[in-house]
Amino acid sequence: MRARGFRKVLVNDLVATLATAFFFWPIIYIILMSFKPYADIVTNPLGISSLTLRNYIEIFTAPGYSFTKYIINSLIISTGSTLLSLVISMPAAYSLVRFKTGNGNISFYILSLRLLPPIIFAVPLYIIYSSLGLVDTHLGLILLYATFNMPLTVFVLMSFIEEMPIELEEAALVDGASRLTIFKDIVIPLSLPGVIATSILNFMASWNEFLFALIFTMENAQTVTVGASLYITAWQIKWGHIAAAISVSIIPTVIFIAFMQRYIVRGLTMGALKT
Amino acid sequence: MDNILDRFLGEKYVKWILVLPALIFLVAMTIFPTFFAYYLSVNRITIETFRKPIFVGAENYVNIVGSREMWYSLGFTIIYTLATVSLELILGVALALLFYSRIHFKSFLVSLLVVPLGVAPALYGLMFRLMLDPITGVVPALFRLLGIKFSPFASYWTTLISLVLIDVLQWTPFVFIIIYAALHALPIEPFEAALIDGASSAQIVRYITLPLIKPALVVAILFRAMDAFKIFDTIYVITGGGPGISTSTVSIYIYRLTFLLGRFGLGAASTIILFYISMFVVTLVFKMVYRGGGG
Repeated sequence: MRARGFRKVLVNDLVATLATAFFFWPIIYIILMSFKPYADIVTNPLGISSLTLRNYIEIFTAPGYSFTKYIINSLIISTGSTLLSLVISMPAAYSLVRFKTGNGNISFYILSLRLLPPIIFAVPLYIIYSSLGLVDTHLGLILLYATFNMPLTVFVLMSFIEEMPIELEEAALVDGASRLTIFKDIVIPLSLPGVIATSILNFMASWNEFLFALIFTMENAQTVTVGASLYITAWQIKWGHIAAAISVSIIPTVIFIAFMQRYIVRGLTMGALKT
Repeated sequence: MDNILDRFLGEKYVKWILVLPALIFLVAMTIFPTFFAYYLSVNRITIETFRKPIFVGAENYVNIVGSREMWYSLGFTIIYTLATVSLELILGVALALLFYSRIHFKSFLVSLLVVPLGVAPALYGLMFRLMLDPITGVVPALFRLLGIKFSPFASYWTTLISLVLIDVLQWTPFVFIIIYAALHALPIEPFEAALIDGASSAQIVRYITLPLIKPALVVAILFRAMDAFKIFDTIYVITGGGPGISTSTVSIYIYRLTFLLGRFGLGAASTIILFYISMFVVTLVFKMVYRGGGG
């Protein structure tokens, strides 16, 4: 009986490890590929004969490549949209939880923005953006991301606010504090861990966005996702450069997701499920 | 509680003041553009002539409804959604059940498994552009080792299967982590009772585990289905919707029509049709997932 149990654990261990490796290997493979010299990539897809940093050096320094610019753009746009989205969403989330403002209609509308295909809004917004001069600007993408990440922000913040004890707020009300004071002095400080988790989820969503970045930028405001995919459509495809560009671009979000274990499910399901 | 609230004058206004910034923002960025899309959809508009539109009535709608490409893309999107979601569901649940048992280095393995969820879908697609390349790619090279000549994008079926499998590789961890978390939140009593009654592990899974995690399953299916339905990034960077329109999804179809061909009137008409199709699904989703509102 004991021996059989032991063997079962071993089989489970083996299958679990293989399954993990299966889902994880594409990422490892691309990172390894980014360190391969050009000749190796073309002639030897399976092995590595030597390692080089050339791909990385070239995407950052070679003339005609503007990868540094893409990264700076992505940082500006992701940070800006995260801050904007939080400032707008935090009071709304509090109002929606405590007062059920709009009787579910407002939350339904906000949720629908997460579920509808974003291309629906891209078409009319492009004409509006053209006439306002917002195409290919940082501000243009910041506004777009703040809008379309608002469902994530509002719903995840709501899930955190729902967990907060209501007694503190009631006590403050009895003591004569106004709702705005309560919001400022009790709700915001208490929900700080939730706000930080939400910010990270928000930053990741903006960093990874592709469709709006593709449509609404030409050159100035181009982000890493669009920038990296431009290499592949360029005349002479340099696989090593693309692999290096991908590796650099996925570092921030991959690190974040490792630290966000506790909040992944909440983020993925927009607060519908908590762990 | 309500008594306390009522005693404070202005309570009614405060709740609206708090949501006001969000509402103004949403009206400007989404509701106004939606109405603007109706205006665009009854005009002949290109990016050069958007200041002088020509009114054409329902012509754009007639063209879209009669367009073979629109219906082909919609059909392709539905096939893609059904294939990816069902595979991800089966694999994700199986993995979650496996990881529910005793496994060494479990938390380490789980943290590796969720990493694909952090990768931008566009970049994930690019990764596979490299790995599936017929000459330099690692996957065709592995097939060559086995003596098989494999060129993923040579035929429609291998292209479709490759695209589906890429989605499965990235998003099975999504279903996995949701179900895995749900399993760990289950009460232990029903399982103890079943063991005492001598139930087999297959019976326990079928009659106890699956019914208990049904809410998590519903959430996982609905989020995956909506995301698969609006897929753009991964397929666009791999095939661009081609060859021809063979791998064109609805989002890719509208993107090409509007932004590559510059037909904004037609594009707007197709977004409005897509809006109603999606809204129908979204309403169903909301009723099932967020019943009663407010998360």
